[in-house]
Amino acid sequence: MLEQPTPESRRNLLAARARFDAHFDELMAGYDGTLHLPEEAALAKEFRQAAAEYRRLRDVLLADESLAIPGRARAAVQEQLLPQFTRGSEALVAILAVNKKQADIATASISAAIANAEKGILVSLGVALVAAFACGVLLMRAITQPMGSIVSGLTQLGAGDLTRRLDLARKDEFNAIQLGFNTTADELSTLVSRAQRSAIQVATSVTEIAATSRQQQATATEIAATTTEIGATSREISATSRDLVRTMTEVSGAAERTAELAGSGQTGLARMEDTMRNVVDAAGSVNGKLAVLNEKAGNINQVVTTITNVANQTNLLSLNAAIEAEKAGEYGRGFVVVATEIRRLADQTAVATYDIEQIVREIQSSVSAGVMGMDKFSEEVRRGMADMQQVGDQLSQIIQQVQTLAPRVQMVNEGMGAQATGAEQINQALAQLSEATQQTVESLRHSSSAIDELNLVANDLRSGVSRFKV
Amino acid sequence: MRRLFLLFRLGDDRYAVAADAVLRVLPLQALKQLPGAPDWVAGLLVHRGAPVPVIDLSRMAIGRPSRQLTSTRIVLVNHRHGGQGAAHTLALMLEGVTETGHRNPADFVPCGLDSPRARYLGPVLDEAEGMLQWVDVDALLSDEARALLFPDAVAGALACS
Repeated sequence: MLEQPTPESRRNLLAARARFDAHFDELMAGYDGTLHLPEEAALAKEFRQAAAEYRRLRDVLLADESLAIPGRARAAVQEQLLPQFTRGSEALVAILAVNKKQADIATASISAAIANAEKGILVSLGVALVAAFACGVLLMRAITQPMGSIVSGLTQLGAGDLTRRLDLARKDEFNAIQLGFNTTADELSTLVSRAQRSAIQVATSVTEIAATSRQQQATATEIAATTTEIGATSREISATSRDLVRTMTEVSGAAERTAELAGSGQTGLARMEDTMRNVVDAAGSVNGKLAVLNEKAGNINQVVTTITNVANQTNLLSLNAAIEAEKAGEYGRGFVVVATEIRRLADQTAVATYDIEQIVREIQSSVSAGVMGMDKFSEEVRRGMADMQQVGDQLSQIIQQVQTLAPRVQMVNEGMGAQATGAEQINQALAQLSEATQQTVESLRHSSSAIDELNLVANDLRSGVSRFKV
Repeated sequence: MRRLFLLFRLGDDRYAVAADAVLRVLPLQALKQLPGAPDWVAGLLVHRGAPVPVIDLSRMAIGRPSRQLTSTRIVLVNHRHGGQGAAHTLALMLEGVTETGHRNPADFVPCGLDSPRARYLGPVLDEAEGMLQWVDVDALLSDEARALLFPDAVAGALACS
């Protein structure tokens, strides 16, 4: 190290020397506190002097002037510093020897003290064992007897006999236990008897509840069935209402058509009445014309009859003349020719007039029949007019009635529509009600099973509390 | 040798009686009814103070009464039953009596039918206006009719025989 000194290693070494010195001083101060013997104190003083001397020499040596000359420094270490370090070591060894001797003496005295202590402990243990046995016997007598009666009491209590009470005749803590036991048994007895009564009541109530629940279930089922029936009825009402609405609409339409028809019928009747009046007038005038025609025909007939008579008689005369002339034989022959000629002329006249006569007769009879027919016709037309006026009045009444009918039909129609809608709403409400009822039935079934379980539990409770004797 | 005939009608057919049997042609007139007589007896008329029964030939021959027309006339004839014995005056109600005519009796041909109920229907003549049948006045009445209408003549005939 000395051969290769660097500024950095040197600085490190100087710092370590300072730290070592401080640590040494600290240790020495602690050691001074343990000094009891004068011999040891003298030795310590000597060591401290040696250490101080060593430190002084070293500091001198480590000064920069000394180190500037490595040979002299190495010589100063060999001659001054090492002997001083050896002196310090020797002083330290002397201190160690003194301390060793002190320690040996202390160890011997401790061993003697431990042996004495062992003896004392053994004696004390024996005395303690004897005392403990005596106390145990006494305690046995004082605790076991009352504990036995307490245990038997508790066993009876546990078996359900709540009539058992303790009587230990003691004035110590057992008295308190006895008091506690008896009070607890009384309380339990009261409680159990109350519980028994309550259990019976609970069982009865549960049975009643079960019966009620079953009844409710039946009622709910009936309600559900009734609801379904009502629903069906309501649907029928709804359907019927709809049908009725349709029918009423048809009726309304028919009534309107009837009113229209009656109106047009009335108009037609009025026209017909006019026409019939004209017909009656025409029939009157036809009658007048026919009367005139009849008169004329009568005149013609008179003339024709005259002509016919003449022709007839001429014809007859010529026939007879011809026959007579024939009978006259040759003398009458020429006369027959004349008679035949006369007859031919008469015949021609007669045929013509005969035809006229026939025609005129036919005309006259036709005119008479026509006059009678026209009279009858006029009468019938008048009667028809009266009938028609009556029919017209009736048609007016029909129109009035039908017109008053239409708004009523409309009202009925609206009412029916409202009824149908209402029935549908009822139906919906009933469907909801039915669903709710089903749910109620379901929950009642649940509650019924719960009640059954409750019944079981109540029976268990009753049998459980009946085990106790009070 | 042409003879004069009086023409008449039965229904639509033409008939004729010989004019020499005809006494008189009378117009249609009101007749006295004969209750209880057969329906072909139209009634009774008085000719020159003597009652004459009137026979409705339409009724007797074709079953319907004569129409009451101007041309329907009453013809008085001489009736000699079977062409022998006394002559009676008989009245016939005939339709369409408006004409006389000359015909040759030889032109008439037998009709080839001899109905016992109508022996008065004689031979026929074909003419342009239709067939003309000769009616024999003397064969007009059956024996029962003759007994009914001329009871005296029948009684006399029986007495003679």
